[in-house]
Amino acid sequence: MIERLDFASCYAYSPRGATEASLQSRQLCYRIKAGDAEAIRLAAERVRTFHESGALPGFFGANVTLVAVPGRAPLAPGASSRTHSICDALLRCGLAREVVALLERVEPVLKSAYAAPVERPSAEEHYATIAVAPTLLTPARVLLVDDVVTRGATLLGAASRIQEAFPECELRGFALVRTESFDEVTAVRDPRVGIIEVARTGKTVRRP
Amino acid sequence: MDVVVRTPTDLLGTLTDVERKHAPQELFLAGDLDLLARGPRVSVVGSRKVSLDGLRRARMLAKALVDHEIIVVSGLAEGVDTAAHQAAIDAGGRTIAVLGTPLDQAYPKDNLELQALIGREHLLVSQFPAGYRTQPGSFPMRNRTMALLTDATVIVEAGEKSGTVHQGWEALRLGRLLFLLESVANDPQLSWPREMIRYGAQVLSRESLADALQDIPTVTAYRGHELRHIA
Repeated sequence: MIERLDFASCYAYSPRGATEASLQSRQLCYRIKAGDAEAIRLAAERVRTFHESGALPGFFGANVTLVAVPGRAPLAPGASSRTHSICDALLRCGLAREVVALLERVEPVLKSAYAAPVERPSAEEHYATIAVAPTLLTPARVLLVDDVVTRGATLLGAASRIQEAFPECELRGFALVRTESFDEVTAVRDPRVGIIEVARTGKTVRRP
Repeated sequence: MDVVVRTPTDLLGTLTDVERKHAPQELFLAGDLDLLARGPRVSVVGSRKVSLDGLRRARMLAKALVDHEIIVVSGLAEGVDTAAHQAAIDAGGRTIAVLGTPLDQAYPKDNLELQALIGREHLLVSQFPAGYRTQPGSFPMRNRTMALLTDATVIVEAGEKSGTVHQGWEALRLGRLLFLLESVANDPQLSWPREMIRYGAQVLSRESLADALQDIPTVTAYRGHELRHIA
């Protein structure tokens, strides 16, 4: 298991806040989470603007392979991965070289958003329920892409799988939206670069 | 009855490929169209031939949804559907009926009065034009449409071959929330609950109900709204 991952996010989201920005953050976050095509297209265009302004240094570029982080359960027959559609939208904005479906959820885990903090799956549980698809590729730079990051356990579990399969690759994480659990949101658009790491308690912590 | 025609895109904005697959061409609406502009909306579905416990659970669930200001959506069929609509109305909540018949027909006939009430004070939705001859396949089509139009689906009670099962799979295929009441999830006679749980369905117990309902997002009502100023 890896213990530290560089990660970036573009929007802040307040689950309970009451300010206008917090309300707007929920509207955007829910639509991204629901796989809404328009929300994902607009968000990908915004990521391109942030990338071009230098707010996301080292995350995107012509040699980056985008890998979608799987949802909490295996995909139902006929369903499509919403994180994969986020990757496709980012690729269409010229932010990467390719999208490769490398990760797959093989067993369901309890959904973070509906689980009490003590019940939320750990990075280890995510790692144990995610598999790497067989491939001949050896990507040099992988950016793991998720829709919403809460504590970062999913990204850390998925990153551990990628690192195990491609020990030489340069690995980072990205989520369109980061959850600001206890705060109001002052600006929905708020690109930030930070880290996800395992604290001494064994829990995953995210900054910012 | 004034009937308004809308496409799914009018109501939901751009559809994804997965959504487009089973989406109807158009929808015929009668009643309070404002119900489409607020949310969240949750489908309560289950068998026509339902146990007394199933009816009680459907009513309890509909009332809990109303308490959380959630719109109760169902199919106005006998059994669970009728209980859910009636309990939502009795609790002072709002309800949407997605019919397997055109708006000018009622099935079962016993629900004619309830259907008229919902068409006046709440909202009726059908994908079938007036005069359309209802076929057995109309009902599972209706269930897929109901999954498309709602933020989550709750299955109250359904047998191994119940049409309700179509809606559960469609909700999962669309990536919408799917809940199974604990009683149906733990029924050893049934195989589909285990399968659905493997693909992400969540079990709803008396204890988890309030938390789960509080966290159901309003997405379907806001889709199609301009987002450019936020994103």
